[in-house]
Amino acid sequence: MMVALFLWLAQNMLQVLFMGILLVPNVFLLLVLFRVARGIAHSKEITACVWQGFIGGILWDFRWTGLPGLSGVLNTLAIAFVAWIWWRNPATGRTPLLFAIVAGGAHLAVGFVHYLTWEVPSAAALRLFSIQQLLMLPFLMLFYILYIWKSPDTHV
Amino acid sequence: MIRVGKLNPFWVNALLAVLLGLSLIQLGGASPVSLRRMTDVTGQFLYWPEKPALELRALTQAASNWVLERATLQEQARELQKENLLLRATLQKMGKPTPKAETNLVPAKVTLRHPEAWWKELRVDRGSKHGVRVGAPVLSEGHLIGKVSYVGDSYAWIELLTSSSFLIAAVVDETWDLGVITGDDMGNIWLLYIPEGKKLKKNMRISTALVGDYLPPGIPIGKVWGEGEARGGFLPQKVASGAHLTQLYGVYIYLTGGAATP
Repeated sequence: MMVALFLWLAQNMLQVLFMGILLVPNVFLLLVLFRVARGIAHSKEITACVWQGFIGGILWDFRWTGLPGLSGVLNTLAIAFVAWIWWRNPATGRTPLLFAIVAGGAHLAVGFVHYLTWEVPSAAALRLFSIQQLLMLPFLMLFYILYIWKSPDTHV
Repeated sequence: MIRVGKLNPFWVNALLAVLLGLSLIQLGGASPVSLRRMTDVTGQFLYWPEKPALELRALTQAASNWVLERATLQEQARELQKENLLLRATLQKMGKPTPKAETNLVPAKVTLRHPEAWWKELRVDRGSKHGVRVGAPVLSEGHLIGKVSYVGDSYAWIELLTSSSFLIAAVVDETWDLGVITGDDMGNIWLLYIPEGKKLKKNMRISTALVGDYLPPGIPIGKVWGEGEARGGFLPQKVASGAHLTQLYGVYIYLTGGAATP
């Protein structure tokens, strides 16, 4: 919980620093998705992740977007999507690579829905959106490594 | 079946969260005032945690301006000094005393600009306790960029020139033609109600006309940039702002009557 709060605040501070220049990647969402993938066997843990993602999204909306509730809904849908994919796969199929693809895809989809709601001219908005997705990649790589590191007994 | 049983609390909670989020979206659309209030409360709550980043951004911006724009600023200062001397000489010739400065430019940092309302409004970190009042003009790079639309205790919302609800009387400096400045929510600024017969030239300067208590005449807005489509005997003129409206980090709130706290 504290890690999520710290990451949310760090992401918010970075957004303040780069306001008008770029959109920081949604690292908070990646963390919550990582927790969902890691704690898939524990119902209570992933249920807590739903509310963490939702509240983090709502706070982000109240701070940065003109549509309160949008990030909350999108974060929840992303969490549900990752959980659904994870449950559909056997334990051996839940590889770090699959996690990276699914989490990256969810981040891309969430960012794209936000992009559709923006008012800035399309070329500038597309640039902002693309840079945000590119900046997400190092963080996704970090969670990918963390996933491998946290799974020593799965031989993946 | 065991798996389905385990999933239930998760899916129920996820569904609840989605419904709650959708209700909030609906509520925000139905009551923009409550939405604005919640946004401002969150902004105030996060003001201190964000303060270091805000200061660092201002410092970086000032440093880069100092390096990149020093020559331009010096040139502008020279031009302004020359203009000031000419105006003083004109006032002396007319036998009028030089007016005392009763205005104040309050510097303010931009703390929020929603991507969904990029060309409509932004929020700054100066409010009523700094002397900011509704209707006060807001400047950037010496040009009008908007006016104060709402004032909180320590923050204010600025309606931008590019907003379609922004309407202000303006004059073409070279021809004295009067028109109304407004935006289109897409980043463009238009000078409306210019009769079709008037032939305005590109780069003619536009400034505010005398209209209200807080908005003095003569504040530069921008230049004539092109013509729009004629309608009803009027030919709208496209206006290029004198300020960089795409990226606004710091602005100046123009207050008349002094008593403002920077």
